[in-house]
Amino acid sequence: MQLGALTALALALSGCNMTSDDDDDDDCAMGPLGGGDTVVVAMQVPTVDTRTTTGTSGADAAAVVPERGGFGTHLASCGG
Amino acid sequence: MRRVTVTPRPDWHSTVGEQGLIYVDTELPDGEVMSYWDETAAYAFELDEVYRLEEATEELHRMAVAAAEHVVARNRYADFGIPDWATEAVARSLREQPPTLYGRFDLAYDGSWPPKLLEYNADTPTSLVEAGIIQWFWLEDTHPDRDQWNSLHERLVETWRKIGKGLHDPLVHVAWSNEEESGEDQMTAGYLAETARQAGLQAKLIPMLSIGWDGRRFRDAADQPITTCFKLYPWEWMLAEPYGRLAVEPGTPTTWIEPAWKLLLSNKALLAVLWELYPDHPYLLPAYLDSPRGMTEYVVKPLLGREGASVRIVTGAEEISNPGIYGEEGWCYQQFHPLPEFAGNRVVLGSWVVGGESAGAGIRESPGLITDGYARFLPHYIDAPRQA
Repeated sequence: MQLGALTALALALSGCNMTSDDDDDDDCAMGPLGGGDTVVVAMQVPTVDTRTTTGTSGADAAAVVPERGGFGTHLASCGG
Repeated sequence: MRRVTVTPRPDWHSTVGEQGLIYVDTELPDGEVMSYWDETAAYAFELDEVYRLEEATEELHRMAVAAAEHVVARNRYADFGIPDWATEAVARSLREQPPTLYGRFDLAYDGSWPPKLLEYNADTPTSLVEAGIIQWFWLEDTHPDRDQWNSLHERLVETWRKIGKGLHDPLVHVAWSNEEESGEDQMTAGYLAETARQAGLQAKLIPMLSIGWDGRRFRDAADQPITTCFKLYPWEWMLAEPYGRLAVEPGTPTTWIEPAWKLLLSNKALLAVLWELYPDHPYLLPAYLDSPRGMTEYVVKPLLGREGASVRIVTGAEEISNPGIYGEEGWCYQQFHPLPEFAGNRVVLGSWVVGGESAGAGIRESPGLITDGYARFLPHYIDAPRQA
């Protein structure tokens, strides 16, 4: 069983630019319970930000979405 | 499978941190810090036992894929809480078979046959760094003549290589949520990016929040088009966010790994569909979506729950529940099958699938019957000489 180059892995890990002295070193972002009241309930109809007026999708030209930040707002660990 | 007390390496804490386990310290609710990595004990497997578990894992994976095909064919998306507007994308994803990388079954297994399926983390499984890397180096340091049920690294590289053959652009974006503060998700994404690089691909780590939309395609913060994206971010969260519809529209030129059909496997409703399709299968526990149906001892699992949150165990003697935010999407009622106990610890066996094949194992211990974010990871070895 060969794992490959440890050096390459170490480079990759250091490339993450993470240190172990984060303020919150918990096992998940908001503790094992997730993000509390702020968490979007999964499977709801997507929120559309109508205040920004950039791109539109091909299939739904009426939809208006933010230029950036339309993913990644869920405040919980994704681990299972 | 047996639990063996072993002597920890003197410098184990710094060692595992340097190897990537930067989330080794877990803060408990009372403020105390516990170690997620625990090498005061290890689990030993027999070689034949591992072969059987590998076969069981691959059989379960085949059954799970067949269950997903059944759900699509019978239009049973509502059982999984999938909104109408996303169903065609899920069906298309399953039909077209875009690339898929990995998943992890959680099994109840105490060394006696058969193992029982608890759930399938098929979309965004973590505990990968410790299963693939940290415990392997522990083995090298402590049991250099023994083997380990662990081909995770080789299979990840091999699977990325196969995926790469079908890509027009060798650049793969690997996205994770920087809202996850422990570093586990980032290290998992970083490790997966490294395996992609070792397969000859270009891998670029990006936070999910940095993804942008230019009106026609997704782009990263440097405005590079995102044509292939491994996302360590669950599909159900993606669909609930502003870019959700765009992500699954046919005209959007991004291939997502894992693909959208993995929604069906990572959902606890899968357990009930499996029981329907394979009643009394030795690896399955009875599971239903509408009610416990007469079971007197059962576990109530939220369809989209994570890390044991919102899980409730009902037995004749007591009810045990873990608080959480999940459940509005629906529940699955699975027969109670207590996690096996070793030296007072409750154990869950994580069995990895990479590229559709069994690829290794990771073991977590908890003080209680629900495995949550306060579980500890223990290494294992196979009680047989290492194979070349």
